[in-house]
Amino acid sequence: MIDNQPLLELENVGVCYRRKRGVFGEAFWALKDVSFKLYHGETLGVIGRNGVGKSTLLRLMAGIIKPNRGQFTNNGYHVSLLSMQLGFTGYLTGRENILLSGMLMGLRRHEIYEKMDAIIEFSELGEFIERPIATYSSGMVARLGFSIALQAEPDILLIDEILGVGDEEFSQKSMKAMRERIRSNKTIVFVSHNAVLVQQLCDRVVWIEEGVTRAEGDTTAVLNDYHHFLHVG
Amino acid sequence: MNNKFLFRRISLALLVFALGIAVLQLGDFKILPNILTVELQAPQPDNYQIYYDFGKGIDETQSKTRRLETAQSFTKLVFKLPTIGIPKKLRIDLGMQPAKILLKSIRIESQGRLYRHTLHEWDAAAILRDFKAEHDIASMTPEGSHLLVQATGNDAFLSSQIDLSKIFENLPKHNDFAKNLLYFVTTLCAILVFFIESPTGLTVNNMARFGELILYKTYADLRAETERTYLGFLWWIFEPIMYMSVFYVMFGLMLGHKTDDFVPFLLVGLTIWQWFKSCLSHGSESILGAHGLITQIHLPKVIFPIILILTDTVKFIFIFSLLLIFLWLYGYSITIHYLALPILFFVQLLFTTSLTFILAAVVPFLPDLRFVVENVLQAVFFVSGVFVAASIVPEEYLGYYYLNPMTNLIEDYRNVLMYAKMPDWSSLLVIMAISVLGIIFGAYLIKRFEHIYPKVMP
Repeated sequence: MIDNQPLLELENVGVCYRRKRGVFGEAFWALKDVSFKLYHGETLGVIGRNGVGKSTLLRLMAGIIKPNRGQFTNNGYHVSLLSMQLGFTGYLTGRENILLSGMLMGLRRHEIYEKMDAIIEFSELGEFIERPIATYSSGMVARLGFSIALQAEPDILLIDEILGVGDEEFSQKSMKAMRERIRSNKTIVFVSHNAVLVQQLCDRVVWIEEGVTRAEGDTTAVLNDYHHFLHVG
Repeated sequence: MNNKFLFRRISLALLVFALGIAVLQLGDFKILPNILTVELQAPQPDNYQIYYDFGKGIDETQSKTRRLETAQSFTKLVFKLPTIGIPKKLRIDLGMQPAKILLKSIRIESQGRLYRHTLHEWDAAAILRDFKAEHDIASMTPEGSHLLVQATGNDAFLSSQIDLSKIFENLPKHNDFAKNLLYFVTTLCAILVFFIESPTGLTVNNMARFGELILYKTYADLRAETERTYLGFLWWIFEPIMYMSVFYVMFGLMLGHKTDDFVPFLLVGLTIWQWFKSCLSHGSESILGAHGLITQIHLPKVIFPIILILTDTVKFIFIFSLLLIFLWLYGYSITIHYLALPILFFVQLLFTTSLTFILAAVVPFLPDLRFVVENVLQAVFFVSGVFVAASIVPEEYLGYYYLNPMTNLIEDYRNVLMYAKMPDWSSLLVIMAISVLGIIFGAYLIKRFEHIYPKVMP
């Protein structure tokens, strides 16, 4: 069946950084041995404590870095990381930043023009959209960043935590939009240490500890193991 | 899939090769005699003159004079011939006083910045055969390997008696140096294109998307820069005006170069150098500077140096326009030679891009290199002929002097803008060929480290 063909495959993947500048310096393995597969249409959760290599894993899947050992296969899909405020430039207006950020995320110019009104409306910036974003409050910048990020439509979307942005009201709105996005039929990898959210949103879960996959499978089962580990260890 | 790939590569490689051949066929690499050397010894210093007949007959306007300074040893007198074809006849005037002159050889050469071909050489016996004593010469007798000429009056001369065009009938159509180099480079490029996977990460499929991004980011960077000041983009005009004024006041008014062409000479050099320098120093930091972006999204890293080069090129267009206005106000006029300007821009852009790519590829690993680059650029600035003309460089070092591509380019710009001369095509071609190789190499390096840059500490 075509649905059983994985989109991304990781086999015993390891990624190392150098602690010092350049090619010298001691190697530091952020990921040591990670294996799992991502299938079409699923929402895969990745859990683990801080500093276990989740960000590195996302960068790897987004094609930003390559593994130093093991095998990572992308069967020809466009993967991208949901990034807020990508390429934002203070001296440019909100509208110009929408164009620039959208293009960096992989949208074509005409696609952005089509979505422009929706983005501006979602951001609730109104007249401010024609002013340089350096004059915005941090809440406004966050709103604009979120509104653009939501428009990226890669084959596989990677999300690193979902946090509400802006004031109380916008925060609710953005959380809701994000949940809808995750529940849609898209393929999504959702990285979090919030077990409640993972339980609510994900079909399957991978648990990573110290750069090694500890468990992969049904959400409830893996989360139970994870909790057990947290309380005992 | 594989077949399509192979097909695309073969056609690209063929295209590169065809381009090279086209340049060779269209380019002007003809060898024409432009140097006549007479090697002789005479008992006293005297003026020697040659006349050349390109079909208009012999007269004073078609002649060159050189002075023999020493009577001690054999001396080469070098006369420059106009490069309008093959002279039909040559006349050599041997001084203005009666004397016993020892003639060693007469040589016709073709000399460019990068090559020197001897086209024909007459030794003593050949001179005796092909030249005839026409006036005020008592006798011409072989003496060892030399020819002893007895000049008896103040207007001794000898003339060629054969049809010179016969001698030059079998001139090579192109000069070998340029030709061989071109063949070599095109073959190498074709091979590289064939074997190396798109060296930039930009492919036909994503070109439109990244092209759009590159242009918009360039626009955005330029806009952001103008927003930073009150006068905005007017600074791109005021800054060069102020810069040029300083040099005009300093050299033109205070140091007394008001009448000669030193101020325009200097400004042409500075403008061209400035473009090169700003692209290189900004572009080399571009990948390092994009660290924040490249850890969030995968982009072909080659776009960052391209964006920086474009940004600096837009600013250069303003400065260059001002330079043109200055030159016209100073009294220079537009000539047909301006047609060569786009080619000069193109070659310089290629050269700048090749260096920028290579530096941008390496700087993220060796950030210290930036300081080295600044200082090396400063050093190269002084030997690039911004302040001095090639004529003050001793003949024996000229070959080394012209090894610097910027020297060649700056001189070519001056030829076009000030002296109504065409650039030196074969050296341009060499610079172009080297630059294309450099670009491929630089792009390959950037591609090679594409996934390592995001891991390197900023």
